[in-house]
Amino acid sequence: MLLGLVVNDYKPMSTPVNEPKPCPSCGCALPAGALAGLCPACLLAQGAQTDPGGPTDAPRFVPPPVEVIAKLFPQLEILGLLGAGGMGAVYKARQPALDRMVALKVLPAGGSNAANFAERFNREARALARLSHPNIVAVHEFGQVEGLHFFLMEFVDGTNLRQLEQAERLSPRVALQLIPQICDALQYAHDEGVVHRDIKPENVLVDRKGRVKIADFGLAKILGRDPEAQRLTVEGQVMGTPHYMAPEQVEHPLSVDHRADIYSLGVVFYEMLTGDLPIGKFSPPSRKVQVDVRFDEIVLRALENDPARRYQHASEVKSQVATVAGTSTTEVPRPTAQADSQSARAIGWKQPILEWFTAFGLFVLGFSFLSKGMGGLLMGWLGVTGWPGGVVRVVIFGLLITAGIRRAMSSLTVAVKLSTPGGTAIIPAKPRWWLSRPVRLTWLILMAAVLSVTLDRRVDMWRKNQTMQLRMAEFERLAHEQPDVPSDLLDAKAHLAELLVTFGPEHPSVQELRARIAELERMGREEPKIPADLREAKARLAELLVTFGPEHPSVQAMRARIAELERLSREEPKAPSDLREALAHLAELRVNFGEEHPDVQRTQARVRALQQMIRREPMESENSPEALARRVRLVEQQRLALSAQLRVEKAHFAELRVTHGEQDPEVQQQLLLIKRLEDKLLEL
Amino acid sequence: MVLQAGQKSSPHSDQALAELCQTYWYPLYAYVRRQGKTKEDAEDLVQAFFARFLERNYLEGLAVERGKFRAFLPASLKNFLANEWDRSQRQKRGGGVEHLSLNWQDADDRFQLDPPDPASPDRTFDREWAMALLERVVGRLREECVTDGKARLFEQAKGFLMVGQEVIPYAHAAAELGIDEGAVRVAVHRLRKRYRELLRDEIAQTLDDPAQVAEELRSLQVALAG
Repeated sequence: MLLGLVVNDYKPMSTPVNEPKPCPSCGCALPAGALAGLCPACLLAQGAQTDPGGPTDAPRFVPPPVEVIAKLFPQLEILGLLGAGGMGAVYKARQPALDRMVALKVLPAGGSNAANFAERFNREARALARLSHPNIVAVHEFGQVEGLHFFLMEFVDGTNLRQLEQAERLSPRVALQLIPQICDALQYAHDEGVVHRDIKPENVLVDRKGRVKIADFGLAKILGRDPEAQRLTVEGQVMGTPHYMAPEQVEHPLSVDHRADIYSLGVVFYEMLTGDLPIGKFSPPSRKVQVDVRFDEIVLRALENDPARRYQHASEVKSQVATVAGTSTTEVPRPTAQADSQSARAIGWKQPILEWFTAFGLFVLGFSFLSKGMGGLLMGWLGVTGWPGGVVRVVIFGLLITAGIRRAMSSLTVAVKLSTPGGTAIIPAKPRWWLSRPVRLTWLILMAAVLSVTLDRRVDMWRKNQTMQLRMAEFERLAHEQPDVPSDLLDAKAHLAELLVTFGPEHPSVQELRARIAELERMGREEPKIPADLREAKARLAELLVTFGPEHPSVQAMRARIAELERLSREEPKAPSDLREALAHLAELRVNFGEEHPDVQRTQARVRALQQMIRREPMESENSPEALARRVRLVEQQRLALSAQLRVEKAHFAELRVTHGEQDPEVQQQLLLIKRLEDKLLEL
Repeated sequence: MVLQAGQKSSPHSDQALAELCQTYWYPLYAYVRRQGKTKEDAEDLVQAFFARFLERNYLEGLAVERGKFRAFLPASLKNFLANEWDRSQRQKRGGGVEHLSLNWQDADDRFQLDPPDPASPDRTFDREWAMALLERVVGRLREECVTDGKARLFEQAKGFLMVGQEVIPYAHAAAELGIDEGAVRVAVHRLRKRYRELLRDEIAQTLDDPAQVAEELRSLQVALAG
């Protein structure tokens, strides 16, 4: 609705002129409309000029070249111009006598009322030189050289808050780290009777260790101008906006006191938290960014228009901020020791990278412990097996991941790296969401997980190869030593040797296998003629007894299988092996599931079908000519198939040997496979 | 003002937007007319454009874009013309038939009274923009003078704003106003100074970076000269 009104109500501000008159100055036709008789081109041309003779206009300040300054200050090595503005120019210099870096500030000349200026300069500069505070740029010396007023100041190796804000959005953590230091500086200066008058991000320097140094204290007063006037009059040397000035600085410049600085502090604070200036009707910080609501109150009170309603002391702001930050429940920060160490840690790039790699390593190790292959191997080295090993693995996983997260969190502090004329400063800052710590932590953990899974698979394969080779070698050795021992017993013994290496003597699998071997040996002694399937079932029963005890359903089922096999051997010795297996399986299933279970029904059907087939066409005699002919045909086919496979495998072997080398387990395995195929071919 | 208008719906930003419309409606209107739209269409379009402007928070984007409002506004309008306006019109009328305006007699007075301009719509826009800006500056200056009780002085001296200091007939003006010549000199000087301040201020408000004021001033001079 608002818009409709606006546009419909629009009328040209004056009635149209019917016949255009020419401009008296340039002769162009004068346009119709609100300018009513004014020539826009001429207006603009006049507006673009600067008034040279205006009584209050500041002359344009041109920073003297480095050579000129070097001549004026022979006791200094002038290294370069750091910056210039309406408030003067700053040079980086070295004092060889004291071997220290200094900043030389040269003020614009006082203009017509030079005497006045010199007097004010001397008075104020003395007050400034008395200020001695860690958060205030110290004034070493001041004076006048050939009409040029200067300050020799502490050199701050770092950057200013404006540059920080422009580089990246500051996190509330950083804001809360800087604000108390600004408060300290202001409180100290106010106690000394000095008002800054021009607190703004450009004047808040931050050194490489994250320490605040406030520059240009009282300079506004020495220069005797408010920044607003400068903004409008000094073309090309814009000092910034007047948004940091307290209202009374504009309205009653003569009655300004230290509370104006508190207003400016409020603006700086608001801007640090939200990235915006509190102009017009602005929303409180917590509406714009995620900070504790209680900061709203602090910021808004500092920004009160009436000085009497603001905080009366900078120290109050500091203590309020400390209180809120100390009990804050949101993401916001403790600005104290921890934050300091955090910023200190973020300085320098080697440390974060080192920490990142440490964190990554810890994650990989943690996941490795959790995974089966590597974890088992590591636990094997540590000599812990069985279920305590599992517990230890999980505990170690937890510890490593926790340690990794702690490392990662500090390494993931996003640091703004700034190149300034004085070098580089690295300051922790709030990153964009896709660079935020949780996101990057997730990536880190995912990467570690993927890497450890890959590693784990490699290790698993390698271990399987190792144990497989061990088992095969053992089998061959045993077969050589004890040629008359049945092969299932030999295999069990070889397997035992393998398991002993992998799991140690206490592992349940080892116990099971021991029972199996004992049973096989007993049967070898006592029941030499026992059929193979019955033998296997009894061996399996011995294993099950170790694992589950006599009452377990699996044990019962195995017993039923054995009973059925024994009955078959006794009563139906001629039953073909498939029927025999089906019946044994059926007996087992009945115990496990009862008569009604579908598996039981299905197996019963199978048994019935087999029985019917036997009745209808009893197996042909094995020695009939047809059977013999068929077997010869079959063998021939098998031989063909085998030799074809052998060709393929041999070719693959040749390939593998080139890519993997002679010693690779995969190559060895391929060789074994080929040998086995050749043996089979020979047998045929 | 522009930046204030960009801040999301507060009474203040609404007001800022209203002022924005008041000041820069005509340049946009002239721009659209130059593209061959009828009076009614142009009015609708500019209105719809500003409505969309609010809705989409174009101005919020501007605050981050660090640009010139003068360049930003027609670019957005072009985009609006190309995408949304045609679409909405098509829906309304059924079919994207080009709606050529042949009846120039209907066009509003001011548009007709402007010197016939063969320039491109963009140059027209810049010209009109500069005029609108000056209108606003002069309007503000007049208001300030009226508030200070110097309405007569303003009417007498406003012409001096467009000539060099050296050719101002102070004696003549002093006689007209019935005050002493020295006082006229001071008053005119102040008026000229204040005019420059307001001009720079008004320009600065259409820029994100106040340091670009001088550059923008030159661009505007070029726009008016061409």
